[in-house]
Amino acid sequence: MSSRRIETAILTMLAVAIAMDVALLLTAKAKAAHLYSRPFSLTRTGVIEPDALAFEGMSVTGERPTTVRSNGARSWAVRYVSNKCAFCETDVHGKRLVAELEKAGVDVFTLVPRLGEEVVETTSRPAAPRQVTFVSMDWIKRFELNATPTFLLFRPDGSMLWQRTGTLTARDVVAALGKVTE
Amino acid sequence: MKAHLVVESVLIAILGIHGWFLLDKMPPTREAVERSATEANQRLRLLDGRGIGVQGDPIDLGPHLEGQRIVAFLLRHGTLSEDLNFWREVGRLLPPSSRVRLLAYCDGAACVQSVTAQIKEGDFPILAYGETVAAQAVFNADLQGNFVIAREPGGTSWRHSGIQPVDIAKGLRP
Repeated sequence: MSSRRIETAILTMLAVAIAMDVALLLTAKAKAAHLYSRPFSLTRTGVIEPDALAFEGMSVTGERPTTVRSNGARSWAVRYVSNKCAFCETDVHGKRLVAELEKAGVDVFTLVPRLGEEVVETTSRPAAPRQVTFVSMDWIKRFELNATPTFLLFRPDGSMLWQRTGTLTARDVVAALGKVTE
Repeated sequence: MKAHLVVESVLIAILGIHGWFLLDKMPPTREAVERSATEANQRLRLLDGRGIGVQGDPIDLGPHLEGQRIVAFLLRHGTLSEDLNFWREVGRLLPPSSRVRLLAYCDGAACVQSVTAQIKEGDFPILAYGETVAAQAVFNADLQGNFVIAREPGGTSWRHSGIQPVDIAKGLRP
């Protein structure tokens, strides 16, 4: 084979390698954009959902039930956190979102994974208990809650408005508040 | 061979290796991430039998005494009487020496409403509200037709046809 042909073959291979790497980079970027374009669904698939979503639960003392029925007047939210989760403690934007939502008239409930994992409330809360330790199966069977912190925001009719698992960013706070005021 | 050909060949090799690692680091698809979340949810385990009973009473079957096992299962509103009778029979067949504590989770408000009228003296505790992780573990197991034993991995089939209370009781005996 002449050196000219070898040179052409190597140059072609180089061009192909560059093109493939660029294609891979673009594909990775597109896949990542698609992946984070909307929140991951926490809703269970294959489970027949009740017509109306009810968030019913009881505080650790078991004294008074927390009940939110859909078709109410206001949006409401559930923050799934634990005192054993370091990320929950450092989730400043999550705590800020709680305060901002409460200011906007949204009821925010704290749900914990297990008894004994209740968190210290940092915001001024109304007298009604908002920290739920025991929750009804009606609500449980709608969602897959794997990790704390998870933030779930619902419309007054009980449908999901916004959700995020993991510590929140300033952008998340803006997005969630934007959804409420939409 | 000319020097630039060597350089180009090295570049191809570098790009090839770079591409290989890029392939490896490709983000998963949304479906793969959600599937993995579902799998993680399936791995949630029941640790303790705690919650609020259908009559509003706090229930706590822990702490775990040596040899005691908490067997948790879901009562479905649609098959409530059959489910209750099945587990009453299991409870009847279990000798006290088995140290098995049965614990039922009602599958929702409709179940709670119906079961209250059907409770009999000596029945196992029935939860209306449970801990989030434990309730998910029991619900996931029931989707597979299973019940779970606290602090033990996996579930055991009971809803599948042909399985009788005597089979379950036999399996739960020490």
